[in-house]
Amino acid sequence: MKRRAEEALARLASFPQLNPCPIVEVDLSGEVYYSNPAVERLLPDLTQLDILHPWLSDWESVTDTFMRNENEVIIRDVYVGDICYQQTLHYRLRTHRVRIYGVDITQRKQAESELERSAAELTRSNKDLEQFANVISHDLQVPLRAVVGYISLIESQLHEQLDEQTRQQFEAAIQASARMEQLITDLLALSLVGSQDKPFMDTSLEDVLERALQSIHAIVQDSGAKITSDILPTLRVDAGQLVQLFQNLLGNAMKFCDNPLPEIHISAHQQEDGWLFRVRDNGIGIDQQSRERIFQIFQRLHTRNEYLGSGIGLTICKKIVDRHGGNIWVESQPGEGSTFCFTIKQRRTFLPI
Amino acid sequence: MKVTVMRPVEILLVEDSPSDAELMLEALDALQVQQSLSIVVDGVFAMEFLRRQGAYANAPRPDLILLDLNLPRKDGREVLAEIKADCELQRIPVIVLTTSLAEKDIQQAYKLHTNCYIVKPMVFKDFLTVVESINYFWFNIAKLPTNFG
Repeated sequence: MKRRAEEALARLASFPQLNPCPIVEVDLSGEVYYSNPAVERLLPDLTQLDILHPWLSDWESVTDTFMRNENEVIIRDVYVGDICYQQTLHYRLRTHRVRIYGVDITQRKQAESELERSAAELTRSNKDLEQFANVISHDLQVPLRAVVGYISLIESQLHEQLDEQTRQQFEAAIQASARMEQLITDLLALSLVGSQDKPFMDTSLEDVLERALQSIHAIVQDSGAKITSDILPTLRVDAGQLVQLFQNLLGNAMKFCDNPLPEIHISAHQQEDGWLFRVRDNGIGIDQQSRERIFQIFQRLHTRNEYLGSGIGLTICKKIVDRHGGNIWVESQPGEGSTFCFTIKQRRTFLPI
Repeated sequence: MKVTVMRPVEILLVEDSPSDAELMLEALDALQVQQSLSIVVDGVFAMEFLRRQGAYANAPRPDLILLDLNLPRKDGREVLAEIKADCELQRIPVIVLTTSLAEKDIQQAYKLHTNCYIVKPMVFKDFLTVVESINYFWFNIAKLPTNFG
């Protein structure tokens, strides 16, 4: 009976002895009563002071805590030299001693701080980039405006004296500058998608579509497009960005169209984790190789003589959809129109109103 | 009764871009608007002009203010806020005339009680149309308060 008990005891004692993590038992004054072999192995030069050093500044508050509630467990990350230990402190009322279990979490700490550092770095460089784009866009626009302003002023003052060829040359210079202005404006819009994000709010996409249509009113009238839509839901989104998204997609649908009767339909389909929207047109369509390319910046499929544009619009769309946790892609056959599809991720969804 | 402005209309243009200021002058000339245009190049000068401070002690009280948004020293938004908070100046119609198409700027300008927001065209012909419309609406259609001090 006694031998059995001794065996059990020895077996239990082997647990801390063989535990690769340091375990120390101290009394409330800090005197060490027990330390397992891991302490010696990992911290051969460890003195009593070292063990308690991290706690010394508020050892009193530790003992206070245990006096108030002996079942309290205190967990803290402390550094012993360069090594970070997560120490768990248990108080044993019967012996008035504190057991300290240490786990080396130095690597985790390093990984964490590395992650924090690179996240901060990324945020900073993103901010820099947005600011850069912003400044460039503004600063490029000022001299360009002066050039266009003066050229067009001179042209209008000399108009009567100019021959047809010279008028056309003036017109070409103004057109080229106007294109450059468009390019800068779009670049500015792209840079703003990152830097002027608004919080997501419950937004009626019916209102969003109405606002988008309002702002492209002139283009809709010029093209004579017939735009129809399913009943759209209310979702948690950045309203301004969704207006921009619809504006760009509808604008493209009308722009890339040789059909005398442009027709565009917007449909909405509820899915498990959000909504799928499809903007279908009866325009020129897009061949298979180009379908990925169009979402990259400055990718244009057509010469400027065929269709105007900066090649930034769909990049903006992609950025907006990305921010809403969705995807954007296009389904199309050349000559049979295109359908631009995008998803918006939603935790909770509302029934259409 | 026919409303006639006997004196030339006083317009204050707050504009830091020399080319845009010149286009404005040329446009007013071309349209033969009977006006007297004063130009200041930043927001600080604008407020001094309106409050008749410093070099502007004898400045006329404008009938209309054309205000750019992005200005050195004091921003157009600040100028707008100060004008609309000043009981002497708040009656003067302010037209924001800017290159900015940003929804944020439009919203903010109207929140600060701008009387109108116009995006400055780049090409002179379009500029003419805008100036002509401003002149027609603000000095022929709209009735403005008269008893400026």
